[in-house]
Order: sequence, then structure tokens, then C-alpha cells
Amino acid sequence: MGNLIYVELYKTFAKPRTYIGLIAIILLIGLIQIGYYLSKEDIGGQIKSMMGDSVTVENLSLNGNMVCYLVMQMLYFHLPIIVALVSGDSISGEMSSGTIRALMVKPAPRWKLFLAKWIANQFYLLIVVLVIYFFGLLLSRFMFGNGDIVVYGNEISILSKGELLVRFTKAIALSYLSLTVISNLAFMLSSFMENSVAPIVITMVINIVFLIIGSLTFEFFEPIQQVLFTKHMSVWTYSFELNPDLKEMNKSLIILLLYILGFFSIAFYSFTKKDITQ
Amino acid sequence: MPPILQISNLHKSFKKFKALNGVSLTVNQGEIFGFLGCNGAGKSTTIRCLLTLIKPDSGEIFFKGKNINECRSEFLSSVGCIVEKPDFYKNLSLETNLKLSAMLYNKNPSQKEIYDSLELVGLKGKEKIKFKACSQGMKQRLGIAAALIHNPEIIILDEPSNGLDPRGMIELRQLILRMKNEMKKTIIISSHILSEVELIVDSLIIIDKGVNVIQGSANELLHGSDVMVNIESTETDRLVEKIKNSPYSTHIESVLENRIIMKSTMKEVAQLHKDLILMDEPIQNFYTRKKLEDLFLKLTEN
Repeated sequence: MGNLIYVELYKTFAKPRTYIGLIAIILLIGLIQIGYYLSKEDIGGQIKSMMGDSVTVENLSLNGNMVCYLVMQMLYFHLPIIVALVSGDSISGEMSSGTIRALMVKPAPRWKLFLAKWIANQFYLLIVVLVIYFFGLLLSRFMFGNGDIVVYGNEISILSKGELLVRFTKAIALSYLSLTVISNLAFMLSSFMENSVAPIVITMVINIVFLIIGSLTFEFFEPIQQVLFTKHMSVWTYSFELNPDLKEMNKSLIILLLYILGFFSIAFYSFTKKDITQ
Repeated sequence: MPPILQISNLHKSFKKFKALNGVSLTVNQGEIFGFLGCNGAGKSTTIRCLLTLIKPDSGEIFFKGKNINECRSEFLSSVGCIVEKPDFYKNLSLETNLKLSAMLYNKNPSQKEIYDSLELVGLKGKEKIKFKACSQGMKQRLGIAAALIHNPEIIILDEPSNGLDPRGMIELRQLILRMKNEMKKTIIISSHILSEVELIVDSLIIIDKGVNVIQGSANELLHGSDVMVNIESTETDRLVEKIKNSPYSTHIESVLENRIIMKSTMKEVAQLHKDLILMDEPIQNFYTRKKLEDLFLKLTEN
């Protein structure tokens, strides 16, 4: 199994697209940081524009924690594209290039080949969140210093700088779980298709459609909205609440886990049972 | 000792299309086995069933007497193959591709072993070239190196001479014979280039529309069969008259402007040649058509 995982990781990190995603994240974070660095005098106005006029911000200066929090909110909508770029190519890329044949005639059982691919994908995802952690949090702290932040969720919370490293770590771990849903969706679609563009596009279409349905205010959609994974992907924000609604948080976690399990199972079945005819 | 490989009554349909309709074959240890058929005859489907890429609807495949469903891992560890065309990771070098391929067989070859494998197939000095920069011939050679890297008992080569130039084809033929004679491999070759197969196979099968047409040893099938003799002459009419008045009168198949085509057997060819010369007519060329081609065309003409 070790060899299989090594081979899959080697292949993943030999593809230019793997780095395109990571470089895009670093650039986006860098641009946001530069933007805030240049307009740091106006931070009160920035926060007001995000949180509304009812919030009065006093004695609050721009700091690395605040920048990281804002970075995470901004990237929340864009990370799925970057994740899908690699996961969506994982199996379909091998189908389109024909290397799937060479892979499937190896003595390792198909479930092991599948698992090795899945683990390589999860590892890439881990790198993505670690890049956010490093560049978003640690670099921002280095550039802007440590400090308290004010967060507007179900309630307004002022979080002291001493507890923020733990909260950010929890938030990053939860965002990893959210992105795993996207990664597994793209991975599942990849197991059905023979070109690598379609799974990426379809993943994004599903994400966008779910986001739109989630934002509709018609009563009819309410029960559906409760089970859309996009509604629960912001579960990481609970890490920044002083009194998080644990019931709601657990519900979100369970729904996300069910999506992951569902996508994983379908992909597993498709990969292990499919005829390689192309 | 059971045959190294035996396929029994294999059936496979894709929706309404019956790709295989009872293919059976036997491959003995240490032989070069030719697997022949027209496009769409079912060769690739059979090879894919054999390599567990697709699941047959019915039928069984045995490796040394054991059903491969019960010893899939053992069987695939004993096989090196190129299926249709050699596909590798385009961004990786030949050396890395070969190393990754070996690792999937749980082998960790040293750099020397990898370089030796590449040298064996004529890729010495090209180790660092990326796969995407390779010619078709180089890709084919890498495919053969990858098929050999884990020292398997059986080598399956699907159209191995695709993309090779004449020199490459000769080298490939020599390599295949070396794999058989020195490395003691069993080799299954599926090919459209009948003249290539004819020169090296010990036994062969021809399939058509998913069913066996014929199987046997090359000696039985090729040397026992009729051959077509082509005689080129500027005096075709006079030569035809003389042939009609000879014991070969019934052997004439067709007469063209400067050419007579006669049916004969391998045993009779030398005598026929001698007798035609004695007829004292100018003969510019005398040759037999490829025997396997004839057999193939005859058996698959419908």
C-alpha cells in the first residue's frame, strides 16, 4: 500500500495543475494582504462595510488574525475550484490519457488503487489548507502582528489574541472537512468520466446551483436548503463564536460527513466495478 | 503440467453487440503465441478480459490450472503487458515512468536495473527524456521495458510493432526471440502485421467476430497449408498453354496481364519451379505469397 500511495503522490505532484491551484491561493492571499496593508488606516470603515453600521469599532487596529479571518471568508467561495482542479482529474485524467489500463493491470486489488488515489487527493487538500494556514495566518501575523478580532456571527464576539491560534486551528480543520466534500464530489465524478474537464466543470456547477438554491427565500426550498452541503460548508465559522450552537454545528458536521461517505461509496463502487473499455 | 494459460468459452457483450461469443485458447509455457484477427474480431476484448480490465459475461480463464478469479494478484504479478498502446505519464521521464511502473509491482529497482532495462530495449542514453517528448517507437520500447521490469513469466504484447521503423521491427523481433530463448518467457502477441508474426510464432489462433476460427501450431497451420505462387512473365499466354498441358493444369487460380497465380503446397513448390523452367518460357519472377496472409484471408473472408 505504501508503494501505491507513493506513486499516486508522485503523479499528483508531477502535474502542473497541482501547483497552479496552490500558486493561485498564495497569490490571492498575497493580494488581500497587500490590499489591507496599503489601506490599514481605514480598517474601521472596512469592518463596518462588512458588518453593518450597527457595529461600533473602537480601539481596534488591523492585525494578522483579522486579516486571516477576512482571507478565509473571501476564499470560501473560490477554494472549491482549486480543489476540484486536482480531484476532478484524478481518475478521469488517467482514463483520457490511457494510463488507467497500465494501472489496472497491476496486481494490487482495485480497492487498494482506489484508496491510494483517494489518500493522495486528501493529502493535496491538506496541503491546500496548510498553505492557507501558513500564508493566511502565520504570514499575516508576521506582517500585521498579533491582536484581538471582532467577529459577527449569530452574535458579535470579541476574541482575544491569546485564544485565537487554537480557534484558527479548529477553523482550518473544519474547513478541511468542508473542502473534503468538494474533493469527494469531484473525485466521484472523475470516476465516471473519461475526460478531466467535465468533472471539474460539473463540480463547480453543482456548487453554484446549491449556493443559489441556498440563497432563495421561498418557503418551498427550505427543507431542501437544510440538506445542501453548501449551507453547511461554513461550519468553520463556529470556531469563532463564543457560545456556538453545538446542536447546529453537529448537524452540519453530520451532514457533511454523510455527503463525504456517499460520494466516497459511489466512487468506490464505480472504480472497482467498471470495465476499462476505452 | 497444465498449460500456462487457458481461456475457455469466453463471452462478452456490450449492450446488444456480442464482442466475444465463445473464444477459447490454450497457451503453453515458453512459446510465442500469435493472436490474430481483423479489427473488431475480439482480440482486444479477449486481452482485456484476460488482464481483468473487463469482466466477461461467462467463461473461465485459467493460469497454470487455477481460475484467475481466485489468483488475480498472483496472475497479474506474472504478467507484463502492453495493452493497445504504451501509455505513461507524459510529464515524467522514461526513468521515472519505469520506476513507478516497477513500484506498482512491489519492486524497488535500483537505478542500474532501470538503466539496464532501458538499454535492453535500445533506450540507453534517453533515460531523462520526458515521455511526452518521445517518438512512437521510443514509447513502444518503453512499454516493452515496463512489461519486463518485474521479470514476469508471461509477456502480452498488443500490436507491439506499432510505430516502429523497419530497423525497430527487426530489433523487436530479435528481442522477442531473446525473451523466449534466453529469458524463457511465454509471449502472447496480438498483431495485424502478419508477416512479423509468421516469422516468430510457435502457435497461433485466428478469431473472427468473437469466435475461434482456427488454433494450432505454426508448423501445422502454415507449412501444411496451400500456398499461392505468383509467376511473372512477359509471355503469359504461351506459359499458360504449356501449364494447361502439364500435370499442373488444375492449379491455375487466375491469369492477369503479366502474372499467373497458381495454387500449390509447400512440398510441391520446388518441383513446380523446376518444371516451369523446363517449359522454356521467360519467367521474370517466381514467389510464394505470405502463407499466414493467405490462411488469414481464407479463414476470415466472410
